[in-house]
Amino acid sequence: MPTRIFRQIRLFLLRWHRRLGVAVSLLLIWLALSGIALNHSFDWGLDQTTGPQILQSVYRGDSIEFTSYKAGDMWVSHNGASTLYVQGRELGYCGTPFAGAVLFAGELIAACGDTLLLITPAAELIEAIDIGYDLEAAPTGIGINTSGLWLKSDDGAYAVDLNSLTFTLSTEAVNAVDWAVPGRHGDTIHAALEKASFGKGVSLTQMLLDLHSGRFFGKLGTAGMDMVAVLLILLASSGVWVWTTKPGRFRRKHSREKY
Amino acid sequence: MNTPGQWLKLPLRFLRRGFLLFAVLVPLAAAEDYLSTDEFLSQVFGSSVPAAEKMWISAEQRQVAVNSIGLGRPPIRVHYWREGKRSAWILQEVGKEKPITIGVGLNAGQVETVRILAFRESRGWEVKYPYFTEQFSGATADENNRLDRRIDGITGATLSVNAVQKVVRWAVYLDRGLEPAITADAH
Repeated sequence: MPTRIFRQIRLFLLRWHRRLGVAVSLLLIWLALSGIALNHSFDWGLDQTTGPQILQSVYRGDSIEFTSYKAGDMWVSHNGASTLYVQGRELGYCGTPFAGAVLFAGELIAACGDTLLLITPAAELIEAIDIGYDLEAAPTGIGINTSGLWLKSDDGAYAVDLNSLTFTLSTEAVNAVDWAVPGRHGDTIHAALEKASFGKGVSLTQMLLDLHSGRFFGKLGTAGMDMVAVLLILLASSGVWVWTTKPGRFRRKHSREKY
Repeated sequence: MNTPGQWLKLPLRFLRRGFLLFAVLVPLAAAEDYLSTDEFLSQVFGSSVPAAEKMWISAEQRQVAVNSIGLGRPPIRVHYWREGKRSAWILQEVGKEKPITIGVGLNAGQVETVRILAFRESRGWEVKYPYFTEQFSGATADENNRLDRRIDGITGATLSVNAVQKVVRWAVYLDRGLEPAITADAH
């Protein structure tokens, strides 16, 4: 590459390296500070601390879409993320996809991604059973018939034996399975779900995480943070380039060694 | 003849071109890994895996699990497998936000095998590596449910390390509860 063009590129990068540095410096400081706080959020108890009330309103504006299944007399609901509720009361972690819930042998059975949750009618977790390797893919449905409990997956229907923990792919067409279908929970359950979701408010850790990632400001915030990340990559790249291509950098080093 | 400056140019050129590729590849190393229940049981029992059995956890046992061992939310029933003095337990405990599924194999009250069957958290997956899990080999617990050895942690995976330790202590405690049945079998 001719020296003149090379020098022009270097000067261009140097100029824009400075401008980018100034432009992202404040955000970088914020990202660093919030990153440190997130790293220590457990030790500092930030995950147990509710975030400022003035910021809670941002979250309350989001309406969560709950998916509910009626199992016996109970409503089993999922918030689409990772939490399961029984009769509007939070039970705990339930992965996705949430394939539904049924009442079987006196226990509520919920199919949560790679796990089956067995729950008492009093909304107490009996047992969590891993099914990640027993099915070809995560279950898409759960149902019961006269012969027992069934899980539906992409490759067919599996007969489930909860005593021996065996999952048998049925080679024949399975008839008369009452597959769980989502239903509309009433206003009472909905109010309980809303309260259970927002009752304590969003934790400081979650707020920091959303501010750190830009999600707090919606899609625009995420896009903005993506742009900052790209700018940081450009900053690092131009910095390395400018540093390594400084004229005479290696010559001076050589001269020092020679004399 | 090459000057020292020229010798340096090549690695610097590689550095310039390679660091972006490195930044892309490093997160891929954090992918989840699973071990199936059958594979874990085969590692504990070999080719003849016994049938699964159920244990209902009493209120007293749950109290021990919460107060002494520090489990967040112990279940009220667990499945386990046993043959003679050997037993296997598949238990879950939340690391930071999501449960980690951990398999613990014991023989005569001593830990033989610890395996991570499913890891759902975004950080702390290093606990699945043998350099960590093999520290538990031969371990047992005292009457206060403390392990008889120090387990070295992993930087950045403290919560996952704690979760594995709690589950191992919980498995040793539950296995101890099986002892009368094993003795009865032996006679």
